[in-house]
Amino acid sequence: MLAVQVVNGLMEGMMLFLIASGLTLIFGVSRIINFAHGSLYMIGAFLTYQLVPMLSDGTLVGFIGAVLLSAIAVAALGGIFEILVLRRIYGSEELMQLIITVALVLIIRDIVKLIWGRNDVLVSMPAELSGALKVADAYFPIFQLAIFGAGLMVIAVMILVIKFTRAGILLRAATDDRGMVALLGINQQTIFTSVFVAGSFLAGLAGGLAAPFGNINYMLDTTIIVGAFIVVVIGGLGNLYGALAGALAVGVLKSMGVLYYPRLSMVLIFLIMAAVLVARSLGRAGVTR
Amino acid sequence: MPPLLEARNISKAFGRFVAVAGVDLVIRKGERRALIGPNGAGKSTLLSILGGQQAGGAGGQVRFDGDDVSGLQPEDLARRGVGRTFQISRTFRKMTVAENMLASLLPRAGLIYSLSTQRLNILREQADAILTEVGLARRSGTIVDEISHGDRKRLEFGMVLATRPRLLLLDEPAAGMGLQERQELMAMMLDQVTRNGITLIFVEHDIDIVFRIADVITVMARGRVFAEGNPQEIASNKDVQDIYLGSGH
Amino acid sequence: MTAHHRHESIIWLGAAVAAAVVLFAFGPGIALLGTEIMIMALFACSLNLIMSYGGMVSFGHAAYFGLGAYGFALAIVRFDVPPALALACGPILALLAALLFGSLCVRLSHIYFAMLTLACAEITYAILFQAYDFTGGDTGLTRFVAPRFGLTPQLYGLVVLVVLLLSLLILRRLVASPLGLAIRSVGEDPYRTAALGYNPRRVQLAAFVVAGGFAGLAGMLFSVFHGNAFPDYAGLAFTLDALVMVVIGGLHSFVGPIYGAIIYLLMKTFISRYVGEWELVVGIVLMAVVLGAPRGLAGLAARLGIPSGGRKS
Repeated sequence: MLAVQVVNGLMEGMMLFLIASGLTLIFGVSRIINFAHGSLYMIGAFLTYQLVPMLSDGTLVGFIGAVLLSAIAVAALGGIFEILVLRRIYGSEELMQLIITVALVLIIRDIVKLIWGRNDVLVSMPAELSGALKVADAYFPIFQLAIFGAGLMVIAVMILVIKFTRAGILLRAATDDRGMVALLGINQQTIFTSVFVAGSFLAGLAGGLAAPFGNINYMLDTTIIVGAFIVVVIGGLGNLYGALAGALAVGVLKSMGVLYYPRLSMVLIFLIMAAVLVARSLGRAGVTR
Repeated sequence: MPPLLEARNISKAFGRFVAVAGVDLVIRKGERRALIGPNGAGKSTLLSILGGQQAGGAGGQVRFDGDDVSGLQPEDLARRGVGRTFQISRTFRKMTVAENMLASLLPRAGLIYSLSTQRLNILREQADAILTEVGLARRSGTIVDEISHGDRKRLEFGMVLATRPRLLLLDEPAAGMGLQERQELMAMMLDQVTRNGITLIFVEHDIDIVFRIADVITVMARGRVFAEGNPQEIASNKDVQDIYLGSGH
Repeated sequence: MTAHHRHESIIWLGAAVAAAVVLFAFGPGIALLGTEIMIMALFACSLNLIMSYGGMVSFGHAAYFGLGAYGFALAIVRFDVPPALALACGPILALLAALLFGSLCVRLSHIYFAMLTLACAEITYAILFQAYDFTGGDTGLTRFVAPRFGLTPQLYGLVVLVVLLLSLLILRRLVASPLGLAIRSVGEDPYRTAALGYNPRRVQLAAFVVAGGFAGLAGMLFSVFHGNAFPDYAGLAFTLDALVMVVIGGLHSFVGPIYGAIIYLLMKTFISRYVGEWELVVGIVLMAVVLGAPRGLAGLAARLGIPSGGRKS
């Protein structure tokens, strides 16, 4: 029972990381706090729901294809938003940037309602991944293990890109020092757009992958974004590895919490975040700004 | 008479980069000390440690007027009489020049938590007086965002004066200005420092200004004190000429 | 009293009379809507104090609104406090909570500050939601007083109008006082204020507590208005409503949140009558404001010569 719960937690943590990674990536480079990240995730889930029946329903290949197509579509959407709207407000007040992404949340939510309605929809699990793996006398759902594996693959790809490609070097430069990229003769705008597209892709991917796991509805956006924010804040904004550690820790603690303190489960992650933030503030003196 | 400021073995690292590595600094009351050295020598970091802005994680001991003030917050140091300006001047940019002055007068007047508008009005006279001293009387109603770079430097200096500092830390007070404006600004500042009996530590790249104003010059390089002495000694120090004065600064 | 002040007083008086006329002229439906607008305007103004003046963006301001409602309701339901006295319990509970949470939150800045305010609000919400024996849980507290103490919508609206005006008067005085100047200074550059001898966190806390108290006052009025208290009053949705009102109305303006509350609630009431997706419209308006008029309606009004109570003195 405990082992199952831990695996559950790790899977949830991995999902959280996939969402949070895009959020923290975008913040690290362009200092944008994207409230609409959860909305992009939601679109990814709905698109997967739409595409799965079109691409040989119920098979693994069809599912993977649907998820990838959804992620690409969400990435394109993110790109359009960045180019049309975000670009105009990079220099302005932090609050304004925040509000504009909140505006996007409201817009996307109502559009989703218009297209897919207000009821829950379900995505069927690919046949190859349904069922459970029996270890000792505990059953581990294969789909969850597969999601965890997919998450590891995404992490591996991200690390490879960041460590070894030119894009990754630019990304690190942009995260550490925004002036430096300009010195390297790279158009900063291009980097902001690419990072926003990449972050949106990750959000769409996470939404697609998680689609068969639970109900999909128009209220997914807030649940997801709040969880992702907590993970990102715990890990330190802009810190990818921090987000990974934060996501796995939150996932496991949450599923353990459900086991032992079901009444606290709702508020547990907020308590964790509050504890981390207060500890951080006590460990450091003076005003920082 | 004990020195006004006595800093021993000050050090500060940012990650693996050691910005200040075991610096001693002893300043007499009434002294005018210049800190010079190439970029990255640790001058600004040292000022920030003395002003409390970088107190966290800094090593060593600082005594001000006989008291141990190591690790105190900027507000505590300000109340004890350590005032400072910043390399990029920090003012309240969305407020008027006069409001900036009033805000600077509140701590000394003990009015930060007061709700009495009348008391605020009483401070206006003092604010105007200081603005006249620093040459900003005509600008009093202007929003700070709309005044010139030089005027912002004057304003920031006036704001620090309002706290009646005994030790003033100036970080590149004359940077980014034309020759004439720079000379006028320095003359004004020096006049105020002299008249109010303020002890001065300043970082400056303009060697003419440094040699004209400073009683003692501390040359820093790579986080350490490289040389220290009066202007004549520093000017004739061969090593200093090599690493610093010769490099075209 | 300067000519400027006299001019401003006349406008305030005119607006108050106009509000009273609207309350009484168009029947109980409009009186109810007007009352809700005034309560939310007060709530948004309290948030505006820390946002526009104190430079702090809170994601958890509804906690104090909700506690204002529950302080009032619980005093009656659980402690048998006479209703007249219970009225004071709402804002006081909110004030104390703001003191407790605020002293933790002001140690942080920017998004970390915002996230800790959110955590505090969610913890408050969870307590209200789950402590069934005490707070009634998700079914809330109902039927402990008649809605509006049985007053007609028009009369209760008048009471709320008077409370709102008095609150605005106090807030206006606060903003013009030395403490107000300190709050603005710390809001702009806490680093600079510290170097001048301020304890910036304590100034921020003072602003936070005052804002919490006024949010609690609004929450108490809201609880009386409906004769109930629900955990949702402390939820994220209420915080976001207030944030949107402040931005639409105009950041860095004293009266902006009032414009914002009027526009937002009118949109909510009338657009939702025709289209279910009224939030889509709000989203588009928000985007238009941020891109086209970052000073909000108050900024537009100022350009037309209507005083916005802005920060120029």
